[in-house]
Formats: sequence, C-alpha cells, structure tokens
Amino acid sequence: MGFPWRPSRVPLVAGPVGDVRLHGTLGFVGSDLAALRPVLAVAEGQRVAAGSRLLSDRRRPWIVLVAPVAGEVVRLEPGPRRGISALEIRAGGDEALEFDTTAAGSREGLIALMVQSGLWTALRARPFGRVPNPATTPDALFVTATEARRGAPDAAAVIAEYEPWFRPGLAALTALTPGRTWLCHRRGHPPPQVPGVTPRGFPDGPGGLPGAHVHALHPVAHGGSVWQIGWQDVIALGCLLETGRIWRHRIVALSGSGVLRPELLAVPPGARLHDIAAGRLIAGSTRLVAGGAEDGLPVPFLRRDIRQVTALRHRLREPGRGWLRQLAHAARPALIPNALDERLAPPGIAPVPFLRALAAGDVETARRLGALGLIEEDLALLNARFGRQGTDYTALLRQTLDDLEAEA
Amino acid sequence: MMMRPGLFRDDLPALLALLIPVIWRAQGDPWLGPRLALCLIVVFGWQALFARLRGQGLSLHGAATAALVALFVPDTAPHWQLVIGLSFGVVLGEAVFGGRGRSFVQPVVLVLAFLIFSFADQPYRAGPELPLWTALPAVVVLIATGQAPVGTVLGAAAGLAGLSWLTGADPLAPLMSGALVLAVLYLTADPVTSGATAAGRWICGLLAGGTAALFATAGPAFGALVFATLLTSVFAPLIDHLALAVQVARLRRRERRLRHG
Repeated sequence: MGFPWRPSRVPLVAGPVGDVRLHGTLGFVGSDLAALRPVLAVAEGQRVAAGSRLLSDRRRPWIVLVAPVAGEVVRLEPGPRRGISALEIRAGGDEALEFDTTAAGSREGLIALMVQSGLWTALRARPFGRVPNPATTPDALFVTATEARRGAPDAAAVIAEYEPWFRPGLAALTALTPGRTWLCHRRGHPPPQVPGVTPRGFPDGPGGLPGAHVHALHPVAHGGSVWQIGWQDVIALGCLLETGRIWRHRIVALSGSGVLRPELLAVPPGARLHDIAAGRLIAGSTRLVAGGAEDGLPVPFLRRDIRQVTALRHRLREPGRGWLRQLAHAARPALIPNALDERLAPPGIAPVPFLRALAAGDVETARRLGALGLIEEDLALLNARFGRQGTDYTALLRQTLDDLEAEA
Repeated sequence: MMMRPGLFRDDLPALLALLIPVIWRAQGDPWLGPRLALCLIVVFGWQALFARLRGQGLSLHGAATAALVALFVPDTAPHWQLVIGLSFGVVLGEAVFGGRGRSFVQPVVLVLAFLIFSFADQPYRAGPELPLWTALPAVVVLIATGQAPVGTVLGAAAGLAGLSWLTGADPLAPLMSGALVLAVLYLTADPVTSGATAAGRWICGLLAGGTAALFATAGPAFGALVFATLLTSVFAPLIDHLALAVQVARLRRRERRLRHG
C-alpha cells in the first residue's frame, strides 16, 4: 500500500551524440572482469587491435575480454588468486580485427562469433545472474530497451538512430532460444518490427528493470531459466554482423547536478570517468559516479554494461555534526518498513520479509519468496533506500544466490 | 523525487506532528511540561545505556515514545508510576531486542498496558480528551512520509466503525476522538509491529480495530484500543506468515501458467 501519489516521470537524456577525447588510458579493474581464473592472451607493452583477445576464463572459455580500441597494453598487474587486478590500454591507432560473420546464421556460428568478439559476456542468465553457458538453452530471451534510472540514455531515441544495426542484431539473437524473444521497450515508443521478436511496452523507472519484465512475461523464481541482454549490446552485435568489426563505442549519458548540460557521448568501454566528463562540468567541486545518482559507484573506469555517468555537486559539509549526526545516523540501523520506499521493490517480491530473509541469511525463505528471479540490479533501487550503513542488500542477494547455486 | 529516509524525512516530521496535540493539552494541564521532561529523561537514559552497551547510535524515535506517553496518561498520574511503566516498556518492549525495528511490540503500547494493568487507582484507561483537529496533521504527515501503512490505518478505522455498529454503539464516535486517531496512527499502525506484507497490514488493522470495538463494550475505548493493539502485534508475525504463504502459492500458480501458456 503506497500513498496515492503519481510516480514522477523518469527524465532520460536524448539528443546528438558527442565525442570524447581520451587523454588517459582505458582500464579494466579486477572486480569488473567476470573471469575468475584468467588466461592472458597479451603481455605488457604489446600492441592490440580493436577486437583482439585480451584474456579469457580458464574454466569457462566463453568468457572473453577483447580490446575495445586499438592501442598498447601499458599496465598489467597480477591480482590475488592468480587473477588480474588491473589491465590498462593506451588508445592509439586504427587497427581493427576482421571477424568472419558468414556462419552467424546458425546458432553455433552465432555463439562462436559472439564468444570470439567478447560479446557473449553481455548476456546474463536468470536464475543466478551469470554469463550463460552456451551449451544450455534458455526458455526465453529478454532484450531490455528500457531504462530505470534518472539521467540514463533515452533508449528509444538512440535505437532509432542506430536502427540499421539494431535490426540485424535483434534478428540474429532470436536463434539463441527455442522460445520467445521478448523486446521490452518504452511504453508509447514502438521499436522496429523484427520477425520472431515479440515487443512489449513497459514504463520507465523501477518497472524498466529486466527483473520486472521477466516477472511479467516469463517468471523464473520457481523454475526455468531465461537470458537477458541490453539494447546497446544488440546494436553492438548488429554492427559486428554488418561490418565484421566490433562496435568500438557505447552510448553513455552524462548527467547530474554537476554537469553543464546533460548529453549523450560515444565512449569506448573502459574509458576513464574523468576523460568522459572533462570540460563538461560546472565550476566547483563535483564527484563522478558510474551509474545513477542513487546507486552509482565511484570507480575510475566505466564498465561496458553501465550506460550513464553522473556528476554530483559536492556537498560542502556533511549535514549534521556531532550529536545531531549521531541521532541521524544510528549505527547498524534495523530495517524500518516504509510504504514509500517499498514501492521501489521488484514486482512479485514482498519487500520487507524478503530483505529480512536476506539480512538473516535465511537462504531457504529467500528462495521461497522469489530470490531466484532476481539479480543484483533489480534490488539496487530498493537497496539505495533500505541499505544504509553496513547492510548492503545487493551484496546479500549475491551471497544468497551463490549459496543457492552451490546447492543446485 | 522522493526524499531519502532518515532524520529529516521520518523522525522529525512524526515528532512535529505530535507538537500540536501536546500544546493543546498543555493549556489545561500545567504538569504536562514536567511530565514530558521526565519521560524524555527516562527514555533517553535507557536508550543511551543500551546504545553504549551495544555500540549503537541513538535515534530521535525515543522522543516520540516519550511524547506519546506524556500525552496519553492522565494528569493525575504519579510520576513514580510513569518511571516504572516507561522503564518496563522501553527496556522490555524495545531495548532488549536490539532497538527500534527489531522488536515485536510497540513500546508505548507496552507502557500503557503495564500502567493500566498495574495501577487501577488511576484512570489510565480513559485516555486524554483531544479534539479531532489536533490529530489531523499527524494523519497527513505519517501517511505522506510512508510511516503509517495506509492499509493498517484504513483497516483499523473500518474495524472500529464496523464492529461498533454491530455492537449497537455509534460507529463514528471512535473516529471523532483525537486521542483514538493518534493511537491508531502511532501505535496500531507502527510500521515495525503492524505486519510486513500488504495483506497482513490490512488484516492487522481490521483485527486491531475490531477487537478494540469489542473490548470497548466493557470499558473506555482508549484502553480497549491499547489492548487490542497489543494483541494484534503478538499475532502480526503469524498473520504475515499466512499472508506470505497465500501470496507465494498464487505467484507459483501464475508462474506455471505463464511458463507453459
């Protein structure tokens, strides 16, 4: 039960796409690399072309990271447990690998091409939210063309601009599943029609998260599995199929209270947030986060799956001092249910019992209440409200999913 | 855009909404000020002790607890009784469980129930005489900030009016009393103790309102609502459990239909 207020509209960023000059390096931080045990394909100082393999996973060879641009590997640091803690590329040159796209008509050929070009890692499987094993088949495929956060790129406008690539990418993806391919788009903005694809309109805001679409069309909380892919990766696949080269950009929205004006930028994956925002910020101190204002992360480099950068005006002083601050920020606060905040819950989830089950580590109850239908991004908005100081419900959900996966 | 939770969205507005009934009552009751100060000292004393023992911070919520107790007790109440009642309610109703959000009874309800039960010489059952308008700001503030679940509030109102009508009393009388409206908002509809699911909240509200109207056939309505709320908060986890079982079963049926349909 919420107070009958109309949900506020989610402002999205549209308009001409600007360019970014890269001064620094492109970086891939250890935690962003889905690979647990990487097999390196490059050495420090080596030149790479756009699309050439940087590393892959030892156990799951379908997880491949490719260079998004041509350049030189300038930093390669080993991390704990034979992992990679940092990999940086200085962009330069124009070489690009040519991929053979002739076999992409068949399912096997498409999978091989997507794995080779590093695009396979754009897919996520539910339950558990992993990069799917190509040997499995999903019951359905979800293409997400909606945005949930304020200041995200306007998917409908960008897709219209890149339609010559979006269309073949989408058509090729239908081969991945014997079931339906759902295209979840913004309500009122019909997408290009592609045979074999079922479009469905969804609102922006929390209803634009893939978890909401999966719940509405093909829930997997108690059995079955689906895959999901974002709209920009569909464009990237179309670019690969049409040109034989990888798409070297992603369209990223720069917004927030600290920018001169919100705008769209073509940015290579792994770009430094400082390079993206350089020259576009207001005077005075600002703070850059990758992601939306509520749940963005202060990281140096932009991950490929994050489509927005938010510049927030720095508060000069923390609100409240001393005793007042201690009153305002109780240490380890308990969950106090609130009807307004609960409206940000993913559909089909009873938020308070679910969050309590997560916090208590009650894996069985969390599963019964629908944990298998969720991945971290679905809980991000709810976590921004309830998860304060010490309780990170997205991390707890990850832990719960890992436990359930180990059981399965 | 919605405000973030915390002091300025949750605790302060709930406290400010109590200011109006407190000021109104202070005009006819010169002892309200000292009583409020005493309640604040006792509540914050216990909270500070437990916060220190557990290494936690304080929260402003204790001020609302103190203000509600000071407002709801009769002006003849001896202060030593208040100290004992408050200590019992705050320590056993909240602090021993780990503070607000971790307990299963509203501490003010426990304080009032303890006082009604232990000291029959004072009219604790009667509740204060407050006009309805003094409670209206609280209705707006608590519902607009999401702190009083709408389901519980409406359920309690429906239960009170419906059962009063069935027992032959005036169904609108309980809803015209400011003290009862405040008690429904702050005590019955406390978000922590009044159910955690949408259906559970409605059922808790109906149960509290209905039992309060039944108890009111044998005594003042205010005391009846306090005991009805205490009873409901004991049953709230069970109600939630059943509501969740029904919800999960329905979702599973729907999932099977969507997956195979």
